Amino acid sequence: MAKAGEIYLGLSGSEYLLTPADRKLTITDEEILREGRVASGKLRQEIIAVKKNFSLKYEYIGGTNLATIQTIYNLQDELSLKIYNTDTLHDDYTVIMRPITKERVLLDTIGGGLWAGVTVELVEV
Amino acid sequence: MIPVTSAFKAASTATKRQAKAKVEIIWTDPFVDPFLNVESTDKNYGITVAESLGADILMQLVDNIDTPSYKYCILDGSWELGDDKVLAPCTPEEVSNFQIGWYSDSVADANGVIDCSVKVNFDLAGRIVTNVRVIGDSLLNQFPVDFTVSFYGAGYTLLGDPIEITGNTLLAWSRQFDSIDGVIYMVLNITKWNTPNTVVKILEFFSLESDVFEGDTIVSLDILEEREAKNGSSPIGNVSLNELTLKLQNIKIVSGGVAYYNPFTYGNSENNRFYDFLKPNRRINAYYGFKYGSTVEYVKMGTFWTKGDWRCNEMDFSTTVSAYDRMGLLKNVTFECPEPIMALENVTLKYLAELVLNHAKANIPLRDLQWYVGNDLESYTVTKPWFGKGTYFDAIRLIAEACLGCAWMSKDDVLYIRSYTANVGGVSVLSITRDDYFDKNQPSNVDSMKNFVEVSIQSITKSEEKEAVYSDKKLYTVAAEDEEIFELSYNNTPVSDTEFSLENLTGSAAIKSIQRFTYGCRITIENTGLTESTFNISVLGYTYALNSDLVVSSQDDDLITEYGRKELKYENNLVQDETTAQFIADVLVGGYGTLRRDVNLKWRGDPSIEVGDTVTVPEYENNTADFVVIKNDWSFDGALSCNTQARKLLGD
Repeated sequence: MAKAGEIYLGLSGSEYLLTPADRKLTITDEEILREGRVASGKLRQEIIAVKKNFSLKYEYIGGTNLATIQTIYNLQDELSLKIYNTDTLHDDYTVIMRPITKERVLLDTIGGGLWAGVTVELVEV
Repeated sequence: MIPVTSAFKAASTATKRQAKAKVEIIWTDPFVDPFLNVESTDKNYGITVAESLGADILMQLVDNIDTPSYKYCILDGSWELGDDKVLAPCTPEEVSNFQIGWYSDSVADANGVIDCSVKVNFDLAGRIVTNVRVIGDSLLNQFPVDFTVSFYGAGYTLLGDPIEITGNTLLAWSRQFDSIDGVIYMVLNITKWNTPNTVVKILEFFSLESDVFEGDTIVSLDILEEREAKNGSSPIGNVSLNELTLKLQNIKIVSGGVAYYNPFTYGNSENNRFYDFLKPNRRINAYYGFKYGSTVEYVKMGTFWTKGDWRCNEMDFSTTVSAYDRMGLLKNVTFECPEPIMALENVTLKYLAELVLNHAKANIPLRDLQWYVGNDLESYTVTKPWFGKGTYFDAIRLIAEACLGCAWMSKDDVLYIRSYTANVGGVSVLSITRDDYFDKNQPSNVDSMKNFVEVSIQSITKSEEKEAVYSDKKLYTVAAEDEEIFELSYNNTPVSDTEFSLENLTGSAAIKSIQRFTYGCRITIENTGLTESTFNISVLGYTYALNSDLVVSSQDDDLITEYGRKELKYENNLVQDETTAQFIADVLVGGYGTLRRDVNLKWRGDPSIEVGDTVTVPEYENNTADFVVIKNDWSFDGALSCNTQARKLLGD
């Protein structure tokens, strides 16, 4: 049973729950457009689409949880992103994941270590 | 201008606008499929008679026209004198114009029980079938009750289970199903009809495969519409050929709920609905539109048929295809001008235009060809009309030239032929302001100026006596108990009243049938003998002397002094009298002797505008002028833009 605030990511129907610990979600709209100024000087825009960009920033993340995210990235496929606003209502997006940047702060061969400054960039297709 | 809502208009000029594109591709267009044919051994007398006259009524089963034109008389005991039935179409022209479909020879018994079948043949390579429909006679409310549809592949192999229907109550029955690949033909077998003691009447038995692509599937959709393709801003012989270039993504396409990956890639033939469809002559209906609120409103931009390759670009994951409007089809088919046209005298260009178009409709055949020939063409009379060997496109161009007019396909796929006088512009339908265009220029077009025009009068004189028009010494051969078709081209054309004979004949060859054209013939020779037959073919006929020595001219001396002589020589075999020739010369010099300052606009574009519309465009400072749109070059790649050329109105 999902809970408000949870985020799931993965292949459609097989999404993983992403750890919420130390996570910050940023959603920005991106206008894909072509624009130019006409003879009168006015700006004219052709909106091709408005897409969302998602940024999940983990100040610190454990190696096991990072491995889950890395597994999702390694799928190299369109991903289903579910963001739960309540326990039952969620927004659905089809996204691709950009490569993950990460900084290791603690080496622990058993728990996978501790990582800092991990940012997961998701782009709506 | 295409009628659209005010919301569409507002969306087209909004500061932020969202343009859309959509295409419907009909993969199995029955009008241009060279392999498609229909056969039945159970067909009534009327169909047999029509076939003997060269008319293929059974093709009406696959023409996507599902309503009969009339209730028809049928000698099965159901016809009563005085009812509202008419005689069935019989000649090629009647079959071209009136819908009847398949009438069986067998008659249902008192319980409606019957056993008859009809067969639709596809490409021998086989094709995918995902649907089928069977439609009865809507005017008589008659339809099959019990029937079976079966699909067959190579070697007469039954593909899948036959669709067995009992107790049908639908006049128009159809069914969608999982795709069956490799279908070479399908058979409809009817075992019970809903009306006793009458014959079966089926209007449609076909499987039309189509897909609609929009949104993310379309990478780009470019459309070129032009009215005056030949001579810049000169109006002579302007037969336009509109062109579409479509680019679709080739990553994943969903059709009928099934996802196909790399569907247009060569070699990807397994379980791929699209693979066998990627051929020439696929019909494309194209649309541009705008999104406002949650609504998308589209305008149809035309109907096109693909030409050449579906080019698949591996690195940008797309496929590209070009297509032309119906004029492209007419450009590829020879107009076999019938010899009896030489008996015509003093007919109007409107009459001639309809003769050519009716011929195309019946003989290509293009049964869905629609046209509008302006009444203004009735004011142009041709003394002795004739056409030499050429395509339908060539014949239409000659007619358009002879009235200084234009011929084009409208966005709703109607062929228009209008004279020069109908093309001088009307009331402005759109004001294109500096808020709409990015750039504008008004070149002087010195090269298209014509200040001295010569028009030759193309008189034609019939010979006093018949002459040998074909006397090739070639020895023709027809094998025993065989027949051959020979196509002959005459030495001098046109000809009329031809007489044929076989000379130096050995064996039993004889002329079986002849199709006579103004420039040649197609002759069928039958040899019923048991040995090979050889012969020469001799053709006698009246010939015609063509004389173009008489020339009229018109000139503007002042303009010649200022700009030098800009000369145009005009020849057209449909211009045969001095009055018409002088009129043409005067119009050309009067209208095209001066520098016209036509306009080229690079603007956002409003797809509801049509070539031929009059628009108002700013000139210097606050001045405006009216122009007739002669070319729209549309570009859509998520955003819409247009390059428009427009001809300045005379006297404006």
